[in-house]
Amino acid sequence: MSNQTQCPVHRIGNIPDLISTVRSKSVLNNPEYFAAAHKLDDGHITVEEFVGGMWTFTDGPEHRRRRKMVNSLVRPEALDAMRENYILPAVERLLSEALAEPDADGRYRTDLVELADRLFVGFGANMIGLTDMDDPERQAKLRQIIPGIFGGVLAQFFDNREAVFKMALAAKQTFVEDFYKPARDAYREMYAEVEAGTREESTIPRSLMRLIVSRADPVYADEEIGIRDAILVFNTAIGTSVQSVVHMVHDTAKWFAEHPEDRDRVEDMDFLTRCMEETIRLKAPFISYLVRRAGEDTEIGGEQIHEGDELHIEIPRANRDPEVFGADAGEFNPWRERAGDLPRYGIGFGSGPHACLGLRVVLGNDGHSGSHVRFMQKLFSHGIAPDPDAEPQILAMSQDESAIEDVVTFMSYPVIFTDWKGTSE
Amino acid sequence: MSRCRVAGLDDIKPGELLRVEAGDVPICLARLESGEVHAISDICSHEEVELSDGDLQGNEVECPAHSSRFNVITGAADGFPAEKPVPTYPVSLDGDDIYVDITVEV
Repeated sequence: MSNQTQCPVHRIGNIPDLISTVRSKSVLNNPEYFAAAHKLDDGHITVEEFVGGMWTFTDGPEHRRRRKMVNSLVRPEALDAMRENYILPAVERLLSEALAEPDADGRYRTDLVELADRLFVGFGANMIGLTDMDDPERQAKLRQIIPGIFGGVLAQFFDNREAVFKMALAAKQTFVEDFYKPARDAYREMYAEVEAGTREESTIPRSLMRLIVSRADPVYADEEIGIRDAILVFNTAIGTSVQSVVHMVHDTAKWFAEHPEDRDRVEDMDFLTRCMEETIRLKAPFISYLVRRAGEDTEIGGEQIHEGDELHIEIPRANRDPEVFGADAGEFNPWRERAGDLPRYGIGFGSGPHACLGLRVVLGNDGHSGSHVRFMQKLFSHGIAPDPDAEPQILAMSQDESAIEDVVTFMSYPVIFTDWKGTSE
Repeated sequence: MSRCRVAGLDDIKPGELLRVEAGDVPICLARLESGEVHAISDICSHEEVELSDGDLQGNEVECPAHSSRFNVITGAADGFPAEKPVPTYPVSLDGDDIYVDITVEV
C-alpha cells in the first residue's frame, strides 16, 4: 500500500488485505467519497445524478435488504429464462444479421463490441423491464447512450470530465424519459389490472421494474432511487458484460493461437468457463480499481487508516499476485490450478457483501452454464478470431499508478468468423 | 450435550427459516411447506453469512448475500457461487418441541 499525504488514498492490491477490507464493517461503500475524499470539484454530479442511493452504494442492513430483493433476478429459473429465451435466440439472429454477406476477400467480418452491445442491450433491457424493445430504433437509441451512462457512473477515470458529464447528463435524460418512464407506466398499468382482478400478478414479467413499481423495497417510494438502480443494471448488464466477452475472446483467441492442441475444445463449456474465469481473474471489473471509504479509524495490512480516507481496491492487481497464483500469475492460462480455496476467478467478482450480482449470470447456477459463456460458445463454434487486418480501438481513460496495461475498455474489436455457415444448423 | 431443544413448532411457520443455536453451533432451521423441519449449518460455505437471513424456496435455502443455494435436506450446494455443502443435523420432534442432534453432523 502507498499513502498520499495531501489526499489520503490507500492502494490495496493484495488478496488478504483486499478481502479483509471489503468485508470490514469499518469500510464503507458510501459514494460521498466522489465529492469529498476524492476531492473532485465535480464529483458531486456522479453522486447526485448517478450513483447516490444505488443498492451497491449502501451499507449494512439496508444493503442486505436490497441485495436480497435483487437476488430474485438471478434465481435458477430466471437464469434459465435469460439464457434460453433471450441470449441464445438473440445470438443466432444477431450473427445472421451481422454476417449476412462476406467481404470482397470472402471473409465474414463484424465488430465484436457492436455485436455484444446489441446482444446485451436487449439483455439489460430485459433485466430492467424496459418495454417495446423489439423496435430496432429504440434498441439503437439505447445503445447510443451506453458511453454516456458509463461516463457518468465512472467519471473519476476521465480527465475531460466537463465533456463526459455533458454527455452523461444527456444520456441519463434520454434513459429516464424515453425508456424508464414508459416502462414504469406499463408496469403500473399491469399492477392496476392486478388490482382490478383482470390479471394474475404472476404474469407480470420478472424484472427490476417489477420490484420498483411494486415497491418491493420502501426506498422505491423515491423514484430517483429506482432510476439509479436501473442505471446500475444498465451499466453492468450491458457495459461490463460487453467488456467481459470481448476480453475473453481476445484472451482465448490468443491462447488457441499459441496452443492449437486446445482448439477442439471450442464448444466445451467446462473449458470455455475456465477461459471466462481466467479473463475475469485478470481483468475484472475492467477498470483498475474500485473505491471504498474508511468509516472509522482502522488498520489494514499493518497500515493505519483514518476515518474518511479513500481506499482504492485494486482487484486486477491483487488477482495477479504471484504469491497466490504462481509465477505466471499475470498470464492467461485456462488450465491454471486453483489457488487454495479461492475460485478460479480469484476475487474478480469482488468479495464480501458487495460482490457482483452478475456472477451467477456470467457463470450460471451450476457454475458452468452461464449466459455469457454460452454466447462465447456460439462465437467460437463459428470460428471467431481477431481480424488480422484491423486494430481494436481502446477508450482513452486517465492513467495513474494503478493502471494495468491490458485492463482496457474496448470501443471496437474487429473480428472474423472462419467457420461461418449460417445459423440454420 | 447431544440432542437439544432449539425451538417450538410455533416459532417457525411453513416456508420459513429460523436461526437457533445448539450449544455454540449456529443452526438454520428450515420448515418446508409440507411441515417437515430440517437443520443445516447457519454459515454459508462460500462466505461467512447467516443462511437463516435468506429465503427458503422449496427445499432450497438461498443465501442472502450472493444467492448460493443449499438443499436443506442434504446440505448439498445446489447453486453457485457456493461449491461445498453445509453440514446437516438430525431433527426430531417431541410434541411441539424441535430437537437437533449436533453430535451427528451429516
